[in-house]
Amino acid sequence: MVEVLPRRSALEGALEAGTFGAGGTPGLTLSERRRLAIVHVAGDAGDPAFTDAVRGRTGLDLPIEANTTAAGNGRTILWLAPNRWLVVCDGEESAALETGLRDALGSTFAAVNDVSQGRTVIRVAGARAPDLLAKGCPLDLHARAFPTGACGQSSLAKINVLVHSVDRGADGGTDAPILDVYVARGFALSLWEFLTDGAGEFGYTISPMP
Amino acid sequence: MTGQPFRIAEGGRIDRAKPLTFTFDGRAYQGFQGDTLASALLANGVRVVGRSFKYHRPRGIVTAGSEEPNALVQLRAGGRTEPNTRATCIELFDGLSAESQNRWPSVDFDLHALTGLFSRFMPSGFYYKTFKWPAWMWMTYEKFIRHAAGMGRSPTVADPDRYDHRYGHCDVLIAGAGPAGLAAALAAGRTGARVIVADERCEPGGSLLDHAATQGGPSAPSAAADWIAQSVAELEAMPEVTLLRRCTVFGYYDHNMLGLLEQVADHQSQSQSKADPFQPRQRLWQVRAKQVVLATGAIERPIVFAGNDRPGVMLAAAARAYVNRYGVRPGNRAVVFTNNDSAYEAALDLAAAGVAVAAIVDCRAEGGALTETARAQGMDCLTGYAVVAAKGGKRVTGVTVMALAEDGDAGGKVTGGRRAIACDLVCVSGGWNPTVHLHSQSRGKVRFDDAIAAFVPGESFQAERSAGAARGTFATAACRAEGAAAGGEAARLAGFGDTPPPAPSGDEPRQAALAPAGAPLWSVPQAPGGHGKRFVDQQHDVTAEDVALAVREGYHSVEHLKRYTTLGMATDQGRTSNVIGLAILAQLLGKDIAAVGATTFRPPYTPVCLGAITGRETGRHFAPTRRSAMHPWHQARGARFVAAGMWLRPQFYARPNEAMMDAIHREAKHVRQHVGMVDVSTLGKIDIQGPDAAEFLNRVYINGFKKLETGRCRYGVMLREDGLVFDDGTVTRLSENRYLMTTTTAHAGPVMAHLEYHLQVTWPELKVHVVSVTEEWSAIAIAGPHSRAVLERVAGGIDMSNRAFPFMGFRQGAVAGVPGRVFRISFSGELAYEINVPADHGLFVWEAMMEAGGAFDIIPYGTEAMSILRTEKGHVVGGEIDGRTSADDLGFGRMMSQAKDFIGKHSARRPGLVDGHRQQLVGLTPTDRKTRIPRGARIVAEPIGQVPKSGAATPVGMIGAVTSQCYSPNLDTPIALALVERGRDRHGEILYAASPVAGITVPVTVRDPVFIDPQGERLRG
Amino acid sequence: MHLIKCPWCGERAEMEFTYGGDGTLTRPADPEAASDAEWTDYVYFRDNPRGPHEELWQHASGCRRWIKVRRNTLTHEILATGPADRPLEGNAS
Ligand SMILES: [Zn+2]
Repeated sequence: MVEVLPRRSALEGALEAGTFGAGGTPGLTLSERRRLAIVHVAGDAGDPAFTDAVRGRTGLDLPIEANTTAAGNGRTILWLAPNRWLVVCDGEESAALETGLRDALGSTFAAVNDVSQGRTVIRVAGARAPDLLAKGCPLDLHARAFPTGACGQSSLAKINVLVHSVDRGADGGTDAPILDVYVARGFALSLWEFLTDGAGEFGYTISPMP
Repeated sequence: MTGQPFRIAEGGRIDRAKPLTFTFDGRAYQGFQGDTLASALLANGVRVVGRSFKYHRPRGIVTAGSEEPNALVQLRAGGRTEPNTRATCIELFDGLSAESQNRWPSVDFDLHALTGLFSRFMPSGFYYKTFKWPAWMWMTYEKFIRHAAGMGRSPTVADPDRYDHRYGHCDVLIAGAGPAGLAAALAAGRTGARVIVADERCEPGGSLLDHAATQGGPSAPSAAADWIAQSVAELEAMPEVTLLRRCTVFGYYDHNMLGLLEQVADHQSQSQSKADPFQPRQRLWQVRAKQVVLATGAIERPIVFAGNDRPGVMLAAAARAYVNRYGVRPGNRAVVFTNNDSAYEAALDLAAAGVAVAAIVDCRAEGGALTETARAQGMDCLTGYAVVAAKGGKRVTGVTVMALAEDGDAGGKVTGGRRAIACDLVCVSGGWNPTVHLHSQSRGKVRFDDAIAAFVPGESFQAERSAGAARGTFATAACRAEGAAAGGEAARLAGFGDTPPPAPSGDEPRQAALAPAGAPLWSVPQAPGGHGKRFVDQQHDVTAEDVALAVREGYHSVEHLKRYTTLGMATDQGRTSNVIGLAILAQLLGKDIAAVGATTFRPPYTPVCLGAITGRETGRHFAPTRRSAMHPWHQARGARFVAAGMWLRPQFYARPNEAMMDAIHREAKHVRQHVGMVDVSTLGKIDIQGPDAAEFLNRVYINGFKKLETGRCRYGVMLREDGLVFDDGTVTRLSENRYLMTTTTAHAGPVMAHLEYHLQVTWPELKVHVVSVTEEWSAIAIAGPHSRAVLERVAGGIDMSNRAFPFMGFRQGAVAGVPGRVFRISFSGELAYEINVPADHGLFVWEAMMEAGGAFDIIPYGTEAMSILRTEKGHVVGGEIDGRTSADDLGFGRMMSQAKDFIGKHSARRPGLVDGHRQQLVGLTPTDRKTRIPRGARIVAEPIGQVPKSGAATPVGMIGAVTSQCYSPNLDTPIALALVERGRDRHGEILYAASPVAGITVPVTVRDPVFIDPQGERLRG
Repeated sequence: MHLIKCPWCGERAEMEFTYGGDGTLTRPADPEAASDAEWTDYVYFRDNPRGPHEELWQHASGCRRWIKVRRNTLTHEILATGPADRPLEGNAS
């Protein structure tokens, strides 16, 4: 059923591919990461039954250190809180991931929630990506403070967000950073408007959606 | 168009190949790229640039920087106009237009200047004394004062330009890019630390840019210019150094957060700005710095003497800047009046630029280090003398000089014969005040340094240090050394570089020559028989006599003096006047300045315009908005939206030519008769999992949840710990250890924080996880007699029969092919269901349900109809759950479990919450069944007749208030919910709903709050 | 404008946090057994010290943990922070 039913993004209709803003080489690319499976997992990081079950299902060790992520096998686990994580997969069915994790956990004290459709993920890439986010986010997004693999929750344009430093690129990070911004679905359009308006001075490209 | 009669033939940092045209007070002039408005006006011989605040005296340009007290102009026109802009800071651009302020009809002929003739009637505290009574005359006085005060006009149309904000982070922030700041930046930058250097001017170099030796050029190579250029090049090549020009560090806040204002495009002409419409005019930075170096320099201070505000009286360093940096002669014949050596450098530069130096009047009996140099150049150096008065009207024509009886202080006497010296320029230097503003804002202490007769930074409170002139070190080489040491230390403390801490630099030799020798001269007494005004604060027209009067009247504290005289309270914040005012106060009180103390400096250092503070948070970016997945559908159907928190919710869907109230009543009626759908995605949804989930629910709700079966829902009420109602909602048991809680839209956030608080702080032992899933699910309520029939068409897999799926039941299953959750709950009191589906499918399911409902004449309805339906059913919302009502007040008393503890239980039983006189929820109908019950009406027991529209006293005997009211289209009568004292005992009584606001009193019958289907047959059917 | 150190996320801007009041309160384990004085102290009475004050804050835009913060109400210095479910390290004054 769901396979044949296309998911409708909160940014449906808002993404118009093209190049906008100030002339010259665009400093940024904005795009949306669609159809991700995003599962919220809560549990006791000190309980081997919990960590083993998550490893068993995802193939990844839970990142225990704050503001870090674990990635591999097409999956990423992002740290949210000392007992909370997001498991993110591209190309996997979220219901299968949710059920799989829940089954793996069995009676272990933990909570698994499919939140794929409650989050919108906006990818901000390019040399000026940190500058754009700095217009409304108090996180220090410099490559030294926010290297590849870092994540952090904060506020962007007064909207709660999770920022994932996917790749700081070559040259110590100033070259072509890729930052993913996770935002609650209801705020996605508002945030998109803030970002595209703010990106004007750098010049920006919006990637076409596949 | 006129020539530039005061432009020097060559030299300066202006680009003579780029002439620019501008207008001042409607008249066109020419200047050059690199000019400020002030330098261009001086080049054109314009001397009067404004009128003073109180006396409307003609005023000219005093400084060459942001400390300017006089040359405030109205810049640009229309939406871009900006009042009180300092001409000394405005970089000239082509097409610039500015107007003088505080004048009528013109700066040259000002009628208000007559005020000056009556000025003895405008002493200190003039406003307080004159306009304080009778009170009713204040409105008249205020108009007069406002008009007389002038101070520019605020724009009346929206500013079309963009303003932006950004956050910044660095290891070392350096305020100021003069010799100390650049040296600090180099030292810090070389360690690899992340450095931000911000300077208010358009190019780095600080005061060096004003010196003749820095002008360089092919004919005169300059070590200073080379050093600046090399330093800037090196800094700009460092990837971790950000050099911000035209960027003022205006505020130093807690925990090393600093506010910066970057004037990105203020220097550009409109056509230049148009070429890049995405560029902001200004950018406000909030920078968090690990360490800060304050290299903010020093500000020259004047000396007070009679007529010291005449146009042509200027600070010596400013005159020096105009000749050297801008190639402009601020006059043809100058008298230099000083108490220190720095003005000699100005005199020498002026002479080199072709300005005749008529005399150097040095209050020091022996003169200073450069006196002989000046004499050798033929200058007349009058040591031990003072300027007692400046003559002239709209421009100075000469000064009167007398000998000082004793060297120094303001109490000193002038003596002997008067000597008149003709001049059109008076260059004054009363010493230098280190710019300690940011240090003081950071809570750092200041102390008075007798050696330089100025306040210098004392002990730091935050991670900052001052360097160079900002800490009273004036020699360039020493400033550079101090800056380098400060930059290196700041970087090291931020974790970069391993240079050892430098030796304490407090003992470094200052360039003593620049410090006043002996006691400084703050103000020159009147010559015998003299009566010219001696201005301390030129922007607020506060004179030395005003300070003396305030002291005589008992205002001995510096803070009182400031407020009473308004000294230092103008837009320049007393840059050039505060310390002199303090010194005069100290002398009058016979105290040391240190004992009198300084006033506290507060942000902003220079004015920040509201556009920069607002940034992009205007129009649709004013605040974030939250939209449900069905938003596009509502929009396409012409819904009018209402903000509910940040959510946009459909308020009603008017049909063509349908009035708002008609649409709302139609929707409310239609739901009870047929079927309707409302988007309830905004309700908070919290997933609660864990073995202790039921126990947790028991502790946060007044009613019990341990017996709730899987697949069933229950209404719950939550209290705060003080026993008053916090929120209500439903809880559904999804599986053995898993529940779904709903909250009101408004309280979704607070309830989540409340649950997290109790799980993390009060009962960390409970094994429960709470996860907000509000955004994951789109929620649709379908209500009305046909709701079951509609659902059966889209959710065929679920047995919808009343037996299989009773009221307060829950089922999972496909809705329109989408795996979803169906709850049989009702807010309207009708047969109703709530459907949750994953949000990406919300719109699809909504459309499918609308389509399936076509056969049953389904309609969408908005929050207004929803509100009518719930009022008819007596359901409480925010009007009733207002933080003052108990569960019993609202009729939930019997829900309160006796068998368990829960949040608020203990308080709910205190006497004040259980006594019989509390206001209880009731329903009201007007006795005539016609008159609308006014919103917010007070309930009184006795009729009080027509309540007058205004001036009415609170109705006596108030026993309650209307909390919700509407016209009920289903009952064809106005109805209301109200909280009334002992209301449950009053059913059937006639009371009165009185509204002083609406000006009416409506007789009402008290009744049960449930107007429709009190037995609940419809929702259970 | 504060910079508050979340025990987990590190130093973060004040805007990420919400204030939660006095951090020294403990809910009486058995409210029914609490005296009126104890209960009113817990529900109503709050000190407003000039100087160090132990407060609760929630890292609302971050990890959503409630934390304890010892803050000097006079100078805004943050003297210590830690998890909310245990006593804050260091001396209260
Ligand atoms: Zn945190």
